[in-house]
Amino acid sequence: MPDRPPLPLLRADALHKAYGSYHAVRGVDFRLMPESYVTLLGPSGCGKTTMLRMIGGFETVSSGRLELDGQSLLDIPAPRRPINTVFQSYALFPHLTVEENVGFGLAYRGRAGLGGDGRGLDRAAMRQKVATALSTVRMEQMAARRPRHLSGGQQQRVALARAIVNEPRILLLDEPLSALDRRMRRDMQIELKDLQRRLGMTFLHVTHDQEEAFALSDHIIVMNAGLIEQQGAPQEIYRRPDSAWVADFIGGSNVVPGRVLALDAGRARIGTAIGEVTAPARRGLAVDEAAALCIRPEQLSREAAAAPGAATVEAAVTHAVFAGSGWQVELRAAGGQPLSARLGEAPAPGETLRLAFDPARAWVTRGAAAGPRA
Amino acid sequence: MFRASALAASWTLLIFAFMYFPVAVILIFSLNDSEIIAFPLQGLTLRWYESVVSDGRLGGGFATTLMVAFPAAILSTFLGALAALALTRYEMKMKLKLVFAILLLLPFLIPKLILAVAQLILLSELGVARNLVTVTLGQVIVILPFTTLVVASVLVRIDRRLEEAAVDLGASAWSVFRRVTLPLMRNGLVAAMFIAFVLSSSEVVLTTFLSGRAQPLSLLVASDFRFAISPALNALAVLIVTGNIALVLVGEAIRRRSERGTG
Repeated sequence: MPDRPPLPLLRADALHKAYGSYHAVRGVDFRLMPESYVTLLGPSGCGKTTMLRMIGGFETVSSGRLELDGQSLLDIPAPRRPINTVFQSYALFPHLTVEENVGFGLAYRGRAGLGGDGRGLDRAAMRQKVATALSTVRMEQMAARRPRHLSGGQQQRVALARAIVNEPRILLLDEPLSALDRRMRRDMQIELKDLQRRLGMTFLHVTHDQEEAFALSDHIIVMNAGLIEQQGAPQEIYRRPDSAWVADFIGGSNVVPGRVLALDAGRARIGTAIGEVTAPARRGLAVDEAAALCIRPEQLSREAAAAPGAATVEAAVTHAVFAGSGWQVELRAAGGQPLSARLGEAPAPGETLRLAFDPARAWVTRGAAAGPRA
Repeated sequence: MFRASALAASWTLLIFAFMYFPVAVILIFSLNDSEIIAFPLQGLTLRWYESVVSDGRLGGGFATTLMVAFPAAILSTFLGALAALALTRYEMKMKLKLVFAILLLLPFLIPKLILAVAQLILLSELGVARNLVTVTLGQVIVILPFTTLVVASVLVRIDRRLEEAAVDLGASAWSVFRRVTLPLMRNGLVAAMFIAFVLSSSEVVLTTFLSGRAQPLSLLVASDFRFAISPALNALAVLIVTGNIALVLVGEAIRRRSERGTG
């Protein structure tokens, strides 16, 4: 990225966390750029929450470096890190009002710590800051209520206000939307993104929800088994998954296992159960290595509509589900390979279709059994 | 299905009858208009209750009981809270924590008579006179396991993330305790204090050995039941049982309210 500012806000090098013989995070490197929205995406147990807790100061770092603005965080205890957290299920103080919750951290502002100026805030300044934070999340009407009298979405907003009122350098969000229903979740996604832009703050958001990560992020870090599988812009991860595991985890793609037959200038010829295809490929593949061909459902169409040069595959329809703008069709190709396609017209169940796709838009990546992580 | 449950219901009733019939008998005789504690019943009266309330000796015993029960309740709740905090909040090796918990709860398993005699021997070896202080301290030992468990049961239900959130917002360990943990465990402390009060006021064995010349109510009741039984004693017993149940219920209600508050 050429327009990347030279200095990262947060920098992790070979970060490692072990609990006895269990290695939750096994040496990861990443940078958080200022004013960016970054998600740590991965299945449960992949180490993403442990990473967040190390950054927040709730877990010690077993080895590696963690720096904020070039200054090591390792010796700075959690209360003195200019980092705040929105906890899963919010962790609002039940015995305090909304206003008292939001103002909680202000009493400790200005103490000698990172970003502290040695002076505290006076009462009027605190009140002003609380009011501003509450209006930022549109909760000023609820200031005198107790958390248990608020809906999930309102509690979420208060938790956000309580964190941002301290003007942290980084806001950590631990699965913040997982307790909300689907509709609420979508609204809150928009609000979170909007809030991050308005405040110009760096958000680091942990989630296992791919859609959420795509909707929010400037940068996604995909984690698996304590290691980073891939990191980059959402489009990059979606279009060019670095491994069959990533393609499979972010979903939505047909991942057909195969073997590399030939390599040539950024392209690979891959042999699979549905035939041989030459498509753009990830760097670093080797001939005869296990690989996978990724074809997104919307790239498959009925053969009649196909452009010249298209690859074709024959498959029998197993399911067809009406999905508003089209039909989500599940098929089975040669060798029992399952395929998903997005078609304009409903196929008959059991019907055998000839589907076509443009190999130039498909992607060849590392296979499930390949690579140093297997 | 129905038959089985009818059988189960009768069985349960039988057990409850076995448990509570003796107490019910005391209740009945406390209202019986006769000097003699025997059937047939002679009619309804409240005079036994009157005689209890107007009895100066019992009043003095009650005052002595309060003088022991209040400090015993406060001290055992304070120490129990410290122990409960250590059990639930300190980072300790599992084994060490287990040893700590066992040592705390062991007085449960030692027969009180043995505890009492042991303390008596120690006190006389040390030349300490027995008085209300010695009985209070002796009672604290046997009450401590209860208060520890009551407070710990509240502490384990407090979401640890609340304390983490306070740390995250910049609070020191002491501030976290003062502004988050303590307010959330307060109802547990009150409940523990109620239970400790009840346990102290009805403790007989330790009190017998350690109270010296002072005669708290429990000792008066115990000796009267053996040497001077009268229907007034039944009335006194009913008052004590009712009072104890009321105290425990109030304490439990407070503890439950705190659960709803944090949950």
